[in-house]
Amino acid sequence: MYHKDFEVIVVGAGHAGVEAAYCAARLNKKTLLITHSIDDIGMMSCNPAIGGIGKGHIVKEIDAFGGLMPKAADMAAIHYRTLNERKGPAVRATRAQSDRQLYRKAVRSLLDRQENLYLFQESVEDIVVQDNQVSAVVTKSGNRFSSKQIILTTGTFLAGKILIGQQSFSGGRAASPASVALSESLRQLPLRFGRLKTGTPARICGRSIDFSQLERQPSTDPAPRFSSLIDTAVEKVDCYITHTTKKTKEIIEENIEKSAMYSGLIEGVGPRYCPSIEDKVVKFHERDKHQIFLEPEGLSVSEYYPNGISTSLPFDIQVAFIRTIPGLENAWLTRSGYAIEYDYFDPRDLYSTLESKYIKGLYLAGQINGTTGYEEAAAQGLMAAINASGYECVLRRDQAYIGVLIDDLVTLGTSEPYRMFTSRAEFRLLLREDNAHERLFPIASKLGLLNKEHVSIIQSRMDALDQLMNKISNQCVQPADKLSQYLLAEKGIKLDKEVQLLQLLKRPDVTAKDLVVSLDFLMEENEELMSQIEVKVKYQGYIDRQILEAKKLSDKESIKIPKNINYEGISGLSNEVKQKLIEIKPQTIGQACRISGVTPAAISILLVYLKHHTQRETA
Amino acid sequence: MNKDTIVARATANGLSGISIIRVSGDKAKFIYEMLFPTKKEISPRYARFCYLRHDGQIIDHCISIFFSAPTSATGEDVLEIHTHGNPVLSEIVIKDCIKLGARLAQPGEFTQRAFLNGKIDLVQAEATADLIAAASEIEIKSAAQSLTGQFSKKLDVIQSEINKIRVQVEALIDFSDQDITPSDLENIKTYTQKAVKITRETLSKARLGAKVRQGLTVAIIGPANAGKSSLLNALTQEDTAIVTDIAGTTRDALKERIYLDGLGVTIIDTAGIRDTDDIVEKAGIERTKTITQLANHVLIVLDGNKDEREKAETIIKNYNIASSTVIYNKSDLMKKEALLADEINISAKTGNAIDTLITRLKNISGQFSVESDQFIARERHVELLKTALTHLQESDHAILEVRAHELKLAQLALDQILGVVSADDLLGQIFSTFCVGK
Repeated sequence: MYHKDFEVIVVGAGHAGVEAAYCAARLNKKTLLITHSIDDIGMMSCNPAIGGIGKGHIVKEIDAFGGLMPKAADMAAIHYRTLNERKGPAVRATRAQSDRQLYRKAVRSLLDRQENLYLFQESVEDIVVQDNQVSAVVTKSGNRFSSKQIILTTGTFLAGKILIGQQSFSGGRAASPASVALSESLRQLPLRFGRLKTGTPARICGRSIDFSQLERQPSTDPAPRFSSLIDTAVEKVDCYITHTTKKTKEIIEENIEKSAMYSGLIEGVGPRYCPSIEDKVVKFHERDKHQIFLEPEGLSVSEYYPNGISTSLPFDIQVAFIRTIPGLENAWLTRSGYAIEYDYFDPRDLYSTLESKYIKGLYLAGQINGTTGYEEAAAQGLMAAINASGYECVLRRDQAYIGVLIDDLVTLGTSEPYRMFTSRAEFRLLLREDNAHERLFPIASKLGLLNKEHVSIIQSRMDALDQLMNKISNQCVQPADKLSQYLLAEKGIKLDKEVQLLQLLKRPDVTAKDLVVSLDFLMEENEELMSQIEVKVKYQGYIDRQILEAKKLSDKESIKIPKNINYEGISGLSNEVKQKLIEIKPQTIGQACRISGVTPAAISILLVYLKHHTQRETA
Repeated sequence: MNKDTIVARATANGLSGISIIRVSGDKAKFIYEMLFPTKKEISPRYARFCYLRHDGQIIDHCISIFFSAPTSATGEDVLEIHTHGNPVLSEIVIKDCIKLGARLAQPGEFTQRAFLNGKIDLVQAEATADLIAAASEIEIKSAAQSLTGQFSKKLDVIQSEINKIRVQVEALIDFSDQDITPSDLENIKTYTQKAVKITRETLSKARLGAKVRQGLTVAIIGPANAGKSSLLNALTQEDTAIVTDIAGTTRDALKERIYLDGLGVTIIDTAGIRDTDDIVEKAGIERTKTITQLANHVLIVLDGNKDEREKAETIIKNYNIASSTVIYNKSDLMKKEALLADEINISAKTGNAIDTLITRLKNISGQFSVESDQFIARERHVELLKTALTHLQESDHAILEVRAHELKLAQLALDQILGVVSADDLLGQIFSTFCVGK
């Protein structure tokens, strides 16, 4: 008999879905991943890149949980960059350009090798809910799969509508159908939804690009990595930089009303920070030049992704304006750019576990919650799966960007596609790429998400860090030492007397690299660990202070608010505050503090009430 | 049940021309209707003449005014009842209000509600208390400046300057891979210098504001029989000075507050130094030392007939005194001698040259001549402004992400002044300093 009962069902195999399924299966749950097209699993719908500022941090955090995205990203990376190199260790971020086909292949092979994980191809048309508890999904041909835990990761496919100029047609991604029936059936559930939009640029054939005019941007060497397990590497290729011109601007201005965005066809709200080229021309009218990165789509194809000119203008206008760009005068467009509009569900209807407040066992993750980006989607898939597998796990804002992401979504909601920025994290100096494993290892290993190999790699790395720290904390430097001579020659730093090595490293002009170069007991392979020590030493004051603040936060997070609290009965709270609290249903005092409009004074009142309340109950 | 309704006497307890009782909360309208029934529609903010009845009998003629939420002092429905000023009468009205569902207000609860309902910020709330407690013209003017939001506005200006910088800094961090925001470090440095300048100006104003609030503190020390007490009496009996007692003085020191041309001066009289050669009583020295450190200025009173300049020098040295005037008392019995700039011959007994001393005190407090936009401030404000300034200055030397962090800390400190974010116990502390009815 064909098994139709599962412990966890994941609907949708985009970046949230695959991460969710991969995680639930690793937690030994019998997991079904159901998608309308198995061959499209791991598809990168927009640009072929993983990571970036704030996003690279998330990928490292997913790696700390043994997740899929960092592995696939490293297996498919054809170009790496370290961003914000000189702006500080906390905001330094890794970004990798991926070969699309390799990425898909990597995801598929990781899923196929995973025990407990079952794939099935068919579109889901209904989610069965009985007594506010999910029980099954039903497919187009009537197949019914049962589970008490269902994770919806349908991305932009819910009632997706693609717009190019004045044309519009239903679709979840170019050349893929939208999930119209599912969208209709979900609209019957007590969930609030809205419309969002996002866009993607045209793609260009590499043979039609004149690279001789363009600035070359090589991959960072040595290449950084996302995953602590993958060390295979594929060939690295270059990206190129060009820019729009005055002529580009003129063409776009002349045709602005033909853009889907400006002709009133789109009702959804687009992201402010990833604007279409139409938006840039209108909002930054004074500028004639906008930068464009030409990113290769893969090793075996000759197609480029022009990052920076996403558009919903008619196709012939796209051709015309792209051909005003240096190097693209003879560009052959392989695919049209388009805008896409889709349904999303108000994430404020979810608990911090990503479970619906109204339907037990229903979890929502990814773009369906109003986010944008592969990394944000994967992070939600991961957390939804951990919680759906029966382990309550909510990361705090001082623990991970993933914690910031989910807390922002469920507490504040979003009115535009939500993308991670480092400025969203109030504990930014604590949440670095370099310490993601250190931060999350205790949680991940307790959950049992890491295999033996992964545990021993992380453990030995952490041990090595401790050992190195111990070693150098006892070291002193004499004016005659090799290091002192090096500092004098290279940086003009003169030591008059013996100084502790750690004190020396505290100086802003002395770096880990200086130490590695001129201390005999340090090898080149110690540089990464030394950099981590350098951050700890230089930032000690700030880090200690943030840890103190984080402690205050975690104290607040530890005060739970009972689900059945009656806000109407609390005297002293204004009606506005009551309404907000009733709407969001914060689970902790910490979360309540972050709801906009809930004042510190209101929190004090709430604390007093909870104190009396619990006293009365225990009395 | 919604917010409960509070009642309290808004004017001082005692016999007076009129007395005002204030009610705030959802039941204020109901209480109004029950106390003063009328067939007419209630017009808010309209003074109405009514008869006050108790047990069916008219007991007073009074004026009542009803303010409807949110345009009232507390942001809730407010009722004011102006009766004739008899405490027994006020007591009856308050009891009747309580019968109708109100409860007696906690100290500061009216102001606290105004704050909670967003009618005023923390600085304004504090200014309310300062205005009520103010006893000099300068204090009143400065408190009024704070109450109307002059200080808060200054803080808002700093906040928005820092915001401008933060926007640029965060854009440089988060959008470095996109070319949306054209900003560079030079701009940021210029903006930071501007913010530092405004913060510094506001800080020095706040320091002055805090001094205005505290006034000048002068300590009187000297040997037992030098005539300290007569000097204090002479000062406090001088026509230009008004004397009030301040409760809660230290065991061994007597505090008096006098006003010199609208400026408050606190005078602390200390226990006498028995003999300058015999200063061995450690506890006594320490006590007097503490007082002299607290004071802005010290009057060293000596017996002009016995004591010499060296004695004053010994005292200054022993007590580590920074700013002082040496007073040779009993000048009526004394031979004339050339005086130094910080020395005065006085006869506390006859009042001779007391006016010279008063002029000198006024000169010392001359630093308090304030501008018309001077606001009142507290130590708390000064400390937080200092913190903000330090973070702003630190930010300008730091790597970009630390710069961003320092800017945030600066804003946090300013937010704490206004009570936008605050430690939970801070609010309790601040409002508990209010009296009932405010």
